[in-house]
Amino acid sequence: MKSLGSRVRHLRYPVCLVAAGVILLLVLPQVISSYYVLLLTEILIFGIFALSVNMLLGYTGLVSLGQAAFWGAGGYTVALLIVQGSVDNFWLCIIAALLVSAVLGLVFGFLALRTTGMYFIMLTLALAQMLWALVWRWRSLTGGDDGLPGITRPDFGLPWSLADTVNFYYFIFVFFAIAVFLLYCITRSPFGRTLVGIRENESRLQALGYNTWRYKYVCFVIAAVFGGLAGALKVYQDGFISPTYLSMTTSAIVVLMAMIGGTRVFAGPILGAGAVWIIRSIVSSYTEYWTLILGVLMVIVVMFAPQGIAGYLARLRERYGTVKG
Amino acid sequence: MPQADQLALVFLNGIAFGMLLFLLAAGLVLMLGVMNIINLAHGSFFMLAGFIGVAVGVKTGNFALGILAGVGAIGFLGLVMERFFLRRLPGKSEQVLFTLGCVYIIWDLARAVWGSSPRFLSAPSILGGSVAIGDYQFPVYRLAVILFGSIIAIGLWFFVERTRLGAIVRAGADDKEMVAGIGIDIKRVFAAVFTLAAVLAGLAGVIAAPILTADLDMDWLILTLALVVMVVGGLRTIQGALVGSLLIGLVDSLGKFFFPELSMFLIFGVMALILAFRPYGIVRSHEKLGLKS
Amino acid sequence: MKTKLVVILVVGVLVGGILLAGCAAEEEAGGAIKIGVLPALTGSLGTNEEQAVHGIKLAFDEVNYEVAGRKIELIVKDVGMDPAVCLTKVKELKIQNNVDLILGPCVTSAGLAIRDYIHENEILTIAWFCSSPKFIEEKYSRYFFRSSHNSGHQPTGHSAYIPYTVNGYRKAVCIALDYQAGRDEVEGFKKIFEGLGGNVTQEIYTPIGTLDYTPYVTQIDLDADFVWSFHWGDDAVRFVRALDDYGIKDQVGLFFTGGGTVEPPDLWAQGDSALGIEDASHYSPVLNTPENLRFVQAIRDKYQEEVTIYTEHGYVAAKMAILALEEVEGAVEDVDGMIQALENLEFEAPRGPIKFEGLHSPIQNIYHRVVEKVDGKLQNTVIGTYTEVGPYWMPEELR
Repeated sequence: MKSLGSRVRHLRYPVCLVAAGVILLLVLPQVISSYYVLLLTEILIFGIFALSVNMLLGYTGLVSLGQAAFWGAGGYTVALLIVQGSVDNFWLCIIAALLVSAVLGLVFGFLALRTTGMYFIMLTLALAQMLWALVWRWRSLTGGDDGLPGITRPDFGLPWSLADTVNFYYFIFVFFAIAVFLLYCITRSPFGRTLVGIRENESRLQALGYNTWRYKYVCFVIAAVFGGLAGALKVYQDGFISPTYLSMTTSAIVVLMAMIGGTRVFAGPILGAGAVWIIRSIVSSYTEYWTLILGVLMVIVVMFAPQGIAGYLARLRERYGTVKG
Repeated sequence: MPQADQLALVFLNGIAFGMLLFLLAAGLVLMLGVMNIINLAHGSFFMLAGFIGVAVGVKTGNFALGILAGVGAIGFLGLVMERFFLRRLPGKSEQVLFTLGCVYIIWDLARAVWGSSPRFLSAPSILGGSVAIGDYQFPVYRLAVILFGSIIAIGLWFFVERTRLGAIVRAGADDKEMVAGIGIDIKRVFAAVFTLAAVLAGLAGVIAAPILTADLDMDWLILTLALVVMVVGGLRTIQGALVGSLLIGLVDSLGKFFFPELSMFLIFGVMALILAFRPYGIVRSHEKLGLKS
Repeated sequence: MKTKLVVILVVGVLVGGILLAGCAAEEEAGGAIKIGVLPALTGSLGTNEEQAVHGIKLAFDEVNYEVAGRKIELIVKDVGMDPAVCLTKVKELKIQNNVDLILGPCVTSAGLAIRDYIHENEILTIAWFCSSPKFIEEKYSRYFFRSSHNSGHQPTGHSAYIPYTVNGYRKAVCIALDYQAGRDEVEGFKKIFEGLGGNVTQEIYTPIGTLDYTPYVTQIDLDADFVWSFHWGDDAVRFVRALDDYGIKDQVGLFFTGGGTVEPPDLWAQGDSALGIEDASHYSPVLNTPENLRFVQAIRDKYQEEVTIYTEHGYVAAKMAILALEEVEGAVEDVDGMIQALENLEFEAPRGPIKFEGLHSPIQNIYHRVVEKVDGKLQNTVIGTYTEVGPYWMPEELR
């Protein structure tokens, strides 16, 4: 039984960290150039995406290489409504994106979860590829490989225009904070703990009477919805969409983000999104071989720090932090 | 109305393509079905072997040297990967991350060395020329690929099902401790199997060069197809890999002929059908899909 | 205690790094003209894009990176195959590097992605491809120019006109890559060919990245007079080889559209399979004019490589910028002056005489070419020339 005092002390550390992080994220845009604010915005958006993927990867132990399907579905829903449907209302677009991603998650999840292991990985990949091919071919609707440009930022009639990079950043930050909060609550709930149980030993949970399939299915849909949210936000960020949103590379990069950041720590994927995005943006300005560097980074992480950056830091803390008790 | 010679061409071509897929899928069956290792870099092996084979084959003018070089290089790469890396990565997601990293590394290195333009290697002159089929010509080389693939298929099947070594490999897949218990170094066996799988991928890569050319987009394209073959054919057996490959090769070839705009959909459609109605793959091996994950 | 130190240190370094980088002014001393370049160096076009960059660098080399007393600074940012990354790089060039002008990009989807941003921010942009008609139609911007051609019209129109009038073909089978540009090209071909009185008996679309062309080439109706194609890259190599492997080449004529199927470097991978194939294109590396011979030799000397259409497009885009800058005496800030200079520009490019006018897309020569082997090397020999072909060229009979 821990005393109240020690419990508070144990909480103090992560709370301090979170508070520091939030303050940093709120203050930074005021002091750095708008280009870096842009990068930061993208990191937040990818952070949501990576967190969604980690629901499957880190918490349930399911490796999906097809999450780009939901990112793209959310994105294309918004894009199609705005460009083809001339819908102006932001909330309508976002809610539609969430609904479409949910439905897609229900369908894909149902198909993919008939399998496990390597088959699951492949099937998620294949399903995402099919969606990509569909979007690519349906030129009249989606613009095919040209994509759909001309998507403007939402206008709420506020005095601060969202076309401005810094304003838009704070707008995204709100969504980021809400998504992080919701996902955090889910992971800390009994549902979330069951997912971890499934990851650790599914057959034992089944023996205890849990319908593990149903848990995996719900988790899949949750990941789909948050992935769709992230994709929708990205479209507003970019101002256009193209089939690259649905590509294998997108699915792979977000898995990479989750793994580099650390799949066993909640905030890991956010750190991973930051690390990968910074590497990609900055390294690619200096060398053409950033793909190689990314690959080497993946190998290094998996061989020496398989728990990712966050996991590594957490282990450091364990090793050195509890001396004082 | 399609003519007989057109159909014959398309059919034969499907078989030839299926044979290439078989070489790749057989490797995956060995790696995944037998050793339970996920290797996303399998397509990269194919691609890299193609580049090396083309480079050596064109430089020396000798196709056989090209094959040796490609196969040797990839076999070595597979050995190193297994011995120093994969052996230490037990978990599924770690294998995924590692092999994905390898895909990126191999891709960028290939791009650095050979650039993004497609590379071509001519078929060896003894297998050059073509056979007349109706109004068309059918390259002898593709017929040779069909023959070669069949020989490899029979050889592999014999090895896995009928030899002592094959029995050890199969046993090791099911029960490592037992095999170790009877005094066999299971680590060596696995290293050998992984290398064999890599060699098969490398072989496929070089042999495919006169038909498909070697280029940077190959890795994912061919891996996706090989994985579809596995779903269709079943994960565990060489026979399954053969049936699956030939089926997908034919579906691809005939599908493109009759429904040119559907191509990839058709293949994924077949896969979806199999998953819906026969989730264990066409060739039953009494194992539930991916049970050993 | 130690772990807190470690964490604070790590976070501090990260934050410090970002702050330093973010706050640091990227201003260069003395009014150098900054030109951003956006090649897709990582991706399946990598080698071609490198050639474009070589062409660009050659052009600036020829003026010693200086115009009207002002130095020129090139800032090259690889944009890969993702249009979103291209947009981010453009923003980086504008916000971080304060570029005056942009050269690129290549791919249409990337161009469309950046179009609104460069239009709103009034950044003069000269692309070395982006050949979709959208750039001079619904997505036209006064700040956007290109050194390439107009997909589906130029040189497509001549790829229909020449087989009809010169070769006397009447029945065509069209086979093209299945994406927007491919569809545009077939449509453009049909308009002219059928308008003249020809007949397109088949339209076959092949997915990009098709591994095996056998099922497609066997569909071709051998009764046709010729096969018309639009392919590039690996697809072009596989397609042409399949035509040869299956003996289809001996049974029908082959007349393609340029900037496409039998263009180097794909031509070199096609080998002898490509011999005898004719096409219509706005350039040929073996074009026998003094300017082109000089250009080809200059590239050989500087980069030890053979010129391709990408090299030439890059060179021309850079040349456009240089000549416009000379016209405004280096005042690159005078965007209106630059635009006017570009619209009035006329010069002798390696491909021949070129001008741009209001549509900002080249008015140039089109060449009837045929693949031949000379001194053991494959080349596109020019056997006919058509002058002053605009982006929307139509044959007289149809005007």
